[in-house]
Amino acid sequence: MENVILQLNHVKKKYHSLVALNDVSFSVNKHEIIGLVGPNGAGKTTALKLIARLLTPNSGTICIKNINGTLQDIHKHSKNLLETGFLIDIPQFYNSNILHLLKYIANIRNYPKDKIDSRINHLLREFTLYKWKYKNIKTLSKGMNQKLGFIASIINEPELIILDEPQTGLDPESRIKIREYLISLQKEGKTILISSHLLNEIREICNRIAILNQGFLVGFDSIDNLERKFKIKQLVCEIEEKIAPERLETLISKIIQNITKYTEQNENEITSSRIITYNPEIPAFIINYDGLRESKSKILETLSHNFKDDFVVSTFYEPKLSQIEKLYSQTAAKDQNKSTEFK
Amino acid sequence: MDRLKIKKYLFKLFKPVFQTFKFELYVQRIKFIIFSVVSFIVAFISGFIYRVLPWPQYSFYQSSLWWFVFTILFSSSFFFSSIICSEYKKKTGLMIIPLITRQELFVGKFLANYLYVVVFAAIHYIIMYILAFELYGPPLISTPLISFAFVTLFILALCCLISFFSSFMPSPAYVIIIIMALYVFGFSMIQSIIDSSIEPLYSFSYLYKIIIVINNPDFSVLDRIFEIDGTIYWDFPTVEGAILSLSVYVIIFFSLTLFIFKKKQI
Repeated sequence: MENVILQLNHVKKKYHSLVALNDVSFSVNKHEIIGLVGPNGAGKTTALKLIARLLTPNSGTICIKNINGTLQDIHKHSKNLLETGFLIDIPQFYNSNILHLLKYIANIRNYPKDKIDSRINHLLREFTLYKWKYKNIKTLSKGMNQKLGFIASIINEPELIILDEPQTGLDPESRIKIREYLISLQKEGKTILISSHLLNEIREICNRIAILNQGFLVGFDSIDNLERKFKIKQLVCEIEEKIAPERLETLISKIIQNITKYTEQNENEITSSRIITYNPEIPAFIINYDGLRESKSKILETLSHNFKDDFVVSTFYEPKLSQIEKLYSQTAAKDQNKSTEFK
Repeated sequence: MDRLKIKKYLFKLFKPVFQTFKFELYVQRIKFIIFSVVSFIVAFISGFIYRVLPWPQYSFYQSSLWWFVFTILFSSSFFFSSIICSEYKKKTGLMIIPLITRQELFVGKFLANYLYVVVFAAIHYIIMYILAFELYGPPLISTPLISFAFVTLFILALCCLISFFSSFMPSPAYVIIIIMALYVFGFSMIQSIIDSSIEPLYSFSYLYKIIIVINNPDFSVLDRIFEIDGTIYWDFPTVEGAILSLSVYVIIFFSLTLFIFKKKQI
């Protein structure tokens, strides 16, 4: 508990009749990077705006650790909280040049006066904006604006950093730069809450993810644990030659019989997919398994030995990105179906 | 030790306001330059026109101030109409509101914009004085200084009213239209509905008259009220009445603006 730096307790936010967040609770520990994912309208930005005190919750509390080390309801007392940096939505700036804006932000956050210039120069060089230092912000491109928004959010070296899709509009090089920078911030001991649609980015940097859909928190755990929970741990077994269509059904039944103790017993609730599917284009078998490391090697052993007359295994691996994408899109699809039924 | 603590506390308390004030002065600098030039031209032209007439010195000031109210209205509207609503419309508030309290942001911006509008007024008065000096020579009467003091209070009240509209209107254009309409038609319409025996201390156009009339050295003995066909006409307010009304405007609309801004979500 003492490690918790940010806590949402049963937070509910309504916009008139629309419930944007419904009974959302989760905690963020110190030094963690938490990813907030979900489809458009899931409530991600609302959650971040509530943490930024741009919105007030209808019920529930949001607490951030204060300088005395205790959690404090930010909507009751906003003073003496740990330094927090924010990048909410696509950043929009005042009619100013970069230097003036960053100086203003650093000053209002009480950043040591003698260090402001060096900090600004360092960050502008780091994100290749130094030569634009004296330019009006209106002359910047969308990607540069985004980078400036990111710099503004970390200018005061905050302990907690809240980022809403920080990589929107960035070129691949800048995305990598921000990703690496976030990892370095975590190593420095910072805590980061980041919302993003870029699932590979989330997978790369986040310790845990919170999946929001239609205002509900549908999952909050490490990616591995969530995949296990939603039974979407998968293995891809690529084979050298295609299987003849007339043999396929019998062969799949035979494989299932052999590896059944390593697979989920029921069909996947979320994905509604079968235990084994066959993709003739690769060609490969895609196997939903129980996620245990020993099961993975047993399945490989079974397929290689028991079926050596039927096919030859060329590659055997656990796909990374596809699983989180599946987790993301299919939790959303599940809830979408629910809401369609209601209609 | 305690003094040092208090000093530190006050510094911490006012630093965000002061930094916002400084930044707002910088952000609005182009608008300021444009309005300064306009203010200079208007003051010079109006002064130049009235100086050809054989009036006493105070009449010269009074004539020059008749149209000056529109300089105040335009400059206040342009500077204050966006003070809150642009934070929402342009979404700049998303960046700044999480870092600073809404009160600090509003007070800092308000003071910077107020300073600019008062500077425009000062430009007008300085030019009036220069032209009067050239026309009448010394000694110059001191009543324009009292008039200027009233202008600063009038601007303060007007800016509070504009900020109030800016706190809930969707765009600065709506605020400007409302303020202009209120000044040109609104107050006189209210005045025609309400019993004429009630002094229209709520009306900005009525309150503005003190800024003009106070230039007259015989101000204290002038008739404020006259009656035509049973209807009472109020010419100008008393010093006390004007100060009180403008102060009430300031307190009510400044507090209301802060309250709405604090509650408004983005």
